[in-house]
Amino acid sequence: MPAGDEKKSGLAQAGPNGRTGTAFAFARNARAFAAALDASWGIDFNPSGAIDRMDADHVMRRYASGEAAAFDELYAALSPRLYSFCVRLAGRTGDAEDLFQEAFLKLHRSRATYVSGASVLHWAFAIVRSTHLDQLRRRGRRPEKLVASTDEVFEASSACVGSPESDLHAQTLARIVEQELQGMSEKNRSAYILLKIEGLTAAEAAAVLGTTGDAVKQRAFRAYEALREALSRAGWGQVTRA
Amino acid sequence: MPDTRAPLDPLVVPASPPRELAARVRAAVAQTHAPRSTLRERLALAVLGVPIAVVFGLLGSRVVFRGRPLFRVDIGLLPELDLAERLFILLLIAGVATGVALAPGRRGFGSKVTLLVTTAVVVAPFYTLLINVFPLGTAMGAAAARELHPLGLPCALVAFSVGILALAAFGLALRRAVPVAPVSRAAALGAAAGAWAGVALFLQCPANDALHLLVGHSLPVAAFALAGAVALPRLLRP
Repeated sequence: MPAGDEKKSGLAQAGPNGRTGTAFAFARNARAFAAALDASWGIDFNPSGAIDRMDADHVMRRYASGEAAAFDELYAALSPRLYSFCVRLAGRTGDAEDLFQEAFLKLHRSRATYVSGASVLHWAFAIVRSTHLDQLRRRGRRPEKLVASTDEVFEASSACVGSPESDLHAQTLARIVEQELQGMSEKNRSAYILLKIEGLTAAEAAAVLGTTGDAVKQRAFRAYEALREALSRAGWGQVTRA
Repeated sequence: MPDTRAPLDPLVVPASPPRELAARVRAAVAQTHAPRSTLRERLALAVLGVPIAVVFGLLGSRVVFRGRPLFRVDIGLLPELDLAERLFILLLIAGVATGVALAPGRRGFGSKVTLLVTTAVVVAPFYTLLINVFPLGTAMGAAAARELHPLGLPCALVAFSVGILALAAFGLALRRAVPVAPVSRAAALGAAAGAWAGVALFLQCPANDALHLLVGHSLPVAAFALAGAVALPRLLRP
């Protein structure tokens, strides 16, 4: 990881004791943790700046009014955030790509129903989540537990204890968190992703999920506690407390 | 069939979608027709469809049940103020329910879920309370009502025809436009359609008998909220 990226992700503070620093950052500030996670994945985490909201909304207005040429601009503006959202929701690369494609198609079919002045990114998030729920309904199952066993996760994290590479610690952390996210309920996962990773406010996330702000906070908190517990099981919490 | 594709490796998640996926999306979008009519145009048509549904239901009942008057026989004998007040309250209930159910909302996701659910739940009890606890009628209307079906089944059919038309208009207006809470939205739309059916029944039926009002008037109004919640969500989702 380049030095600049380390600084941006908050991993630079970890140094040779990266595991402790990153875990502590997670416990203290989930947003900083999300940034570290995204940096370890190569995703540029920047909720406010990744898409200039006004630009994207303007492009969407043009597209909604029938200007087909605006699609490429809209795709360029939305696809990075939407794709990473799809990946986090679906958990499998193939499923995420199916979800992404179907959601974009639905966005295209529903473009005339976009309400001018609303955030196109939040609207697109809502379409992705609705599509994801449709897919789960079609398959007639809850999200599969795609993760390795806790023991495997623990072994994976234990293997990194002696490594001085902070990015390796961050990657291990990312793996544990991702596996835990995929194992939890869809409601808790989507609330956590929108609130803690995508950087939406409770009111915005509540609007996207069709529930109340309090319910969103509660779901995200449950997810957060599950992640903390998973990290603790894998030995991160003990190091932090020490 | 189990999904045998490999689990996602969080270490190799790319920052943006692969190029071949972008090409697939573009090709799929190019081949897919997207309606041009805006939400505002569709909502205007839906609102216009409501009086048409009421008139169609009343006229249709006159054809189906020969001799059934278009408006209640005692409409000219009712105290004007009472009639206006009752009609105003019924129109207010139906109008507010329609507004809540159809409103695009500040964020473009419609009214808040709590408001939608409240609307879906309270319309039928309000209507029942209004027509049963504070009935409006005359001796002439009561005499005419004795000729009607004791359970008010023809009234239920009128309510069904008005409600189904209104519900269809609302559903088409919001087709593929509700990515969030489609069941709550659909239930609220059903309640609004039921409320308009209630208005039509008030205009046509002079009955004051509790059983008739409950089975022939209130039950269909309540049933529409349920029917909306069951039948509409698939139409509303993007």
